[in-house]
Amino acid sequence: MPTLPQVLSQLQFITQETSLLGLFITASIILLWRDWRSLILALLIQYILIGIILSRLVRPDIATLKVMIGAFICPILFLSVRQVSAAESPFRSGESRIFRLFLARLDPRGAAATGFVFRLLAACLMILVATTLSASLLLPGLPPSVNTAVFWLIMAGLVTLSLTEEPLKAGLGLFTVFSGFELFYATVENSLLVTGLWGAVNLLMALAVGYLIVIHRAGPEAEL
Amino acid sequence: MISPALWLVILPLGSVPLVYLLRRLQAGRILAILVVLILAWLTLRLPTGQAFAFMGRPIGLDHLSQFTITLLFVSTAVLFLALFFSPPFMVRAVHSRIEEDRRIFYPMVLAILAFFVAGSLSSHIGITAIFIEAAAILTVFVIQGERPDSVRAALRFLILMSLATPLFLLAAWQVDLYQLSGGPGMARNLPQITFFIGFGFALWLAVIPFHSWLTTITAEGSPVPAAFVLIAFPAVAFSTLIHLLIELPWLVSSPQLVRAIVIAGVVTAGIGGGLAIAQRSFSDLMGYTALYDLGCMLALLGLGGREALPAVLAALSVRALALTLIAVGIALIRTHLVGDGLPLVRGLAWQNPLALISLMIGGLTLTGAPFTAGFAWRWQLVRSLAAFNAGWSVLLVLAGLGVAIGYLRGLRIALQMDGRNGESIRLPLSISILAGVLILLCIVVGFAPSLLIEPIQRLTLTIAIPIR
Repeated sequence: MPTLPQVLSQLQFITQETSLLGLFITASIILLWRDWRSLILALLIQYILIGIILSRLVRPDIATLKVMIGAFICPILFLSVRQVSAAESPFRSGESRIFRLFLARLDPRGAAATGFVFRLLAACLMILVATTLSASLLLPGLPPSVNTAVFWLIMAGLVTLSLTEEPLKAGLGLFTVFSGFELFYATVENSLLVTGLWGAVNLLMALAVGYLIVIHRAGPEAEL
Repeated sequence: MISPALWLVILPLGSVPLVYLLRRLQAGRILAILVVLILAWLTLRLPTGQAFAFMGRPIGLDHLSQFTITLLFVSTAVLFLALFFSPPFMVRAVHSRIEEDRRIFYPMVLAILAFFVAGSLSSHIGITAIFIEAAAILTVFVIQGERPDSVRAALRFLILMSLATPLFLLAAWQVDLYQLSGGPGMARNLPQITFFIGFGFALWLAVIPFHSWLTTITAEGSPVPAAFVLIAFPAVAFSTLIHLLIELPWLVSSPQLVRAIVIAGVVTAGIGGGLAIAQRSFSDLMGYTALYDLGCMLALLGLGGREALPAVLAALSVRALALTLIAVGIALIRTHLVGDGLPLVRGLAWQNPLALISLMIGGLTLTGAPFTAGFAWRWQLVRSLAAFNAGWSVLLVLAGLGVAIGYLRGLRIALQMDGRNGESIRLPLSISILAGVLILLCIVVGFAPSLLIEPIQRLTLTIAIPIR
């Protein structure tokens, strides 16, 4: 079985720039997509990319710990959505799917104002903001590409949070903001106590988001 | 050997599994009440000022933490009693809701209290923030309480509280750097530290425009859990802020920052009071009243001076008392009505006078009306603010009037006669006595504020906020 340094050396072909490109894609998926499987997969890939970047900036075991926390968060979210989506029938309580889609269009809280095109434009705008900010505001000890990644993840997460009231999307937005923050914070904070507590808080948060997902999907709002 | 202060964390955490296992029985609730009362007694008995290391970090119980933790335990004990004595709701669907709330509320709150105490004992702002974040995450379960209708309140609370934590961690890192470098070398980072801390506290203290978590919790949540959140989080946030100001006095060396704190407080109170007029239910009104009160406390802290600290601590105590009374009033209304919307409470004065009196006294206390417990510190705030800026003090008084008008609107509707006026609701003696004691306390402290302020002044003799 390969050791951690061997695994990391095999991942040398993934440069910081490639990782940044990957983070642009994963956070964009979290911002744009609605399919929950793609969203959770994007979050998992995002954690792996962050782990790869961090392995070159901090102790490899700390970077691995971050990936492992992400690897625990994603199944918690997956199982929560899976539990309720399995229980949901496409034709519930005599309503046809078309009728429910029609109701959703009539709903003033619906997604019309924050449709795909709007979110795409928001994502493009955030890429511009992140690159501009990273050019003018250099975070200490970070290479330029990682600097951009930090700003991009925080911006993309905040926009995701502001465009949704759905627990899964909001949770993913929050984890994206936290990922951006950790990408910087892990390089400056050496305390194992703080790192451990922060990891525990992330896992607790995944449980709370999972709980809200289950409750939300079971409630009347989810029918629309 | 375990430090005595750590028992304040171990005891509530240790009792969580037992209370959870007994959650369907009365015994579980009684156990939770006893644990919290014992913790309140223990907090008052523990020696203060002894610092010790835990996992390489200094922790300790000082006078301010002792006050905050005691306030948390005592107010939680009263809220536990209020929920324990509250009669079940009459409407079947709502009845099942309150039972679920009760089952989750007791064990979760014990765990939340443990995290609050851990955060209060720590003298590192980053670790305190992480413990408060953990408490906020557990509070999501308390706010939601297995209600399937909406997750908006819990989600907003989780998001806004969580966004504050990275800011505090960054501030802690910068503060550590500043202190390690001896100060001058890092002077250029001071604005950054101030920004992180200011923004973080704005999120924690529901400063406008980050107030939505506070008002949504009261609108959507059950009254007693909502009161717990509205009492506990601001109490811990204010305690942390005061600790920080005392330990890092250079934070408030800038007059612009002090001015910003006062403006944030006045704007929050002004908008809270202004919006309170238009609320259509007592639950909504509770949220905006609490927002107005928070704004006033923030302004009071920003004005500083020798009397600011005892006044803020007195305000936190009065807030706990008034919010508990309002929560009891709303819970009593919901024993015979499906909601507490103003159109629904017509004739309440004849059917359930105790609920109405609880709401009015609680609401007017938070408004700072004369002859209530909230008057003394509010009077001090208006006088200090008038010396600072007369226009702002007028705005604050007008905002207070807005809240009072909100409650008087409710009173006017409750006094209107309808067909059910003859049917008086019989309430259990226990909840009536609890409501009566809380009402009496609000009035007695209103007539004799020294009963509350003098012990607090003795406690804070050696502490002063570094704002002049």
